[in-house]
Amino acid sequence: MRSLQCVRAVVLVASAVLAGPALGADDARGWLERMGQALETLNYEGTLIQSQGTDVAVMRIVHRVENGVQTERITALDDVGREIIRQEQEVIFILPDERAVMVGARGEKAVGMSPLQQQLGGVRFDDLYYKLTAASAGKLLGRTTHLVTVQPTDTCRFGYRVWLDQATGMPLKVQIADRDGEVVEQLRFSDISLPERIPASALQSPAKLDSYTWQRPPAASGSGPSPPEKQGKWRAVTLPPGFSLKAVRAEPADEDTEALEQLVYSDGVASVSVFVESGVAAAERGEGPSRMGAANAYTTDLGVHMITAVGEVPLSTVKAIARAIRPTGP
Amino acid sequence: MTTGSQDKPRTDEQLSAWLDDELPEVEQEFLVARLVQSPDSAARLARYGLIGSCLRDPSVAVAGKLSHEEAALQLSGRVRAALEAPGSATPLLAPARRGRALPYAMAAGIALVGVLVAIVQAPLLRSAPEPMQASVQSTAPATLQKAALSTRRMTNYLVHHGEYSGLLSARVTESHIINGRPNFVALRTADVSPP
Repeated sequence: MRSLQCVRAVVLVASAVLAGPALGADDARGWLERMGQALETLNYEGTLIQSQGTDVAVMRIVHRVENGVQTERITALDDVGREIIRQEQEVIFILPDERAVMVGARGEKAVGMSPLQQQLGGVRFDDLYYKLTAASAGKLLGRTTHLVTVQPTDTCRFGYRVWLDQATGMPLKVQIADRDGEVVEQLRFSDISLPERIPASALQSPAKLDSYTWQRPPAASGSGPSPPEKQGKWRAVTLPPGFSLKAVRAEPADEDTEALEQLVYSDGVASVSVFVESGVAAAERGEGPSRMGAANAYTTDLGVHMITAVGEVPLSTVKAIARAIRPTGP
Repeated sequence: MTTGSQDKPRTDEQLSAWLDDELPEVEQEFLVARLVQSPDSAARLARYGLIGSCLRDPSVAVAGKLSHEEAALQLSGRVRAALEAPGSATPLLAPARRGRALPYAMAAGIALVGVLVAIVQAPLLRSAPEPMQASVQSTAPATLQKAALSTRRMTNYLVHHGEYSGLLSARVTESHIINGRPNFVALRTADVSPP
């Protein structure tokens, strides 16, 4: 494993040298592919600073690859200390403030850390909707960087600026910006290390989880052998340009939860999830927008069903998708 | 380790270098350590709080109307003024919580500097063909609106959505989940489209 990583590192460095100062879209794609590879194959740990306007949060991230298996732990460095522990088959969300643990299943194809990337076969961009450029940039954290800009060509999606470590392809800073270039949100490492090995103990939460309430969603169907177009009971009758259905996931109702269907639409870069819930109490139902940083949501009603579209796209996009959702059958 | 008045110019110099992404990693660590451990760190952190005020100032918010150089110059001047101001700054933290939250506030202060960098650099993403649209969105008054979803439900949705987030935004989704802030909506005029 160690020699494999060494070979990868040599290849990465060599490709960086060979890449030279090229600035075209192909070069940008190459850098983003390297980024995807780096995120999945490298051991890394560091402190991430997230900022949206003047709101700032700090997180610690540890990503471990051992025998090709990726595990990851992200901890909020605040008074609450929420955590995400991503294992091979499931994702565990530890919420000490609610004394709760939410367990999410990884998708069937979730071999890597970026399911969408897996499903799309790598980072792919439609030149109609994004313009890619790459350029040499200054140093961050003492590392020479390359700046890749993914600029939207319309107002249906956000753009990205990614500062990549030239030696490894690791993203050191990411900005999400709207069509006008206004930064909506930023993530930046304040420190990062790429050790050859990370002990398994670094991925363990110190929280006493035995006393927490564990929430496991009922077994979901969907995203199986049949294409998503043939699954589920809901669809968007119209979509913003470039978006198409990528996955459908359905959770049946049980004694604790109502039935839920999730539709995932993507343009290859951004994704929007639509959640259709039935039986939601009237007090919990509302119509209109919600927002957390770059994540926008729009909720609407259709009879007894509550429909919410959520994603890292402009509000107008989630609103258009939420309002276009209709049942597929009578 | 203490930070006397003789060290302040050095600290400000380092902060300025951080603004320009030119502060070596080792010096970043020293900067953080010095500010966190120094006796007057609370006062200095309060001044960092003024940096946030600079960001909220409308004259900065419409920086897109200025050239990049002018915007950078204005911000640098305001940051310098905030740092040099005698202890007149609004406290960044409530006294009772200051001790426990100090390291995080320190990180936040430094991150704010990152935000400044982001704002100064943001015009680089602007698209030349549509300057009017940029101007309208930058200056449109924001209106606050209660979010339609509870924070809990929004977090729940993000948990399910996170596994399908795009490669470039996955970490952002995760950060929203674990930071769990109450969600709100600040709508710009451009967002308030007719039904």
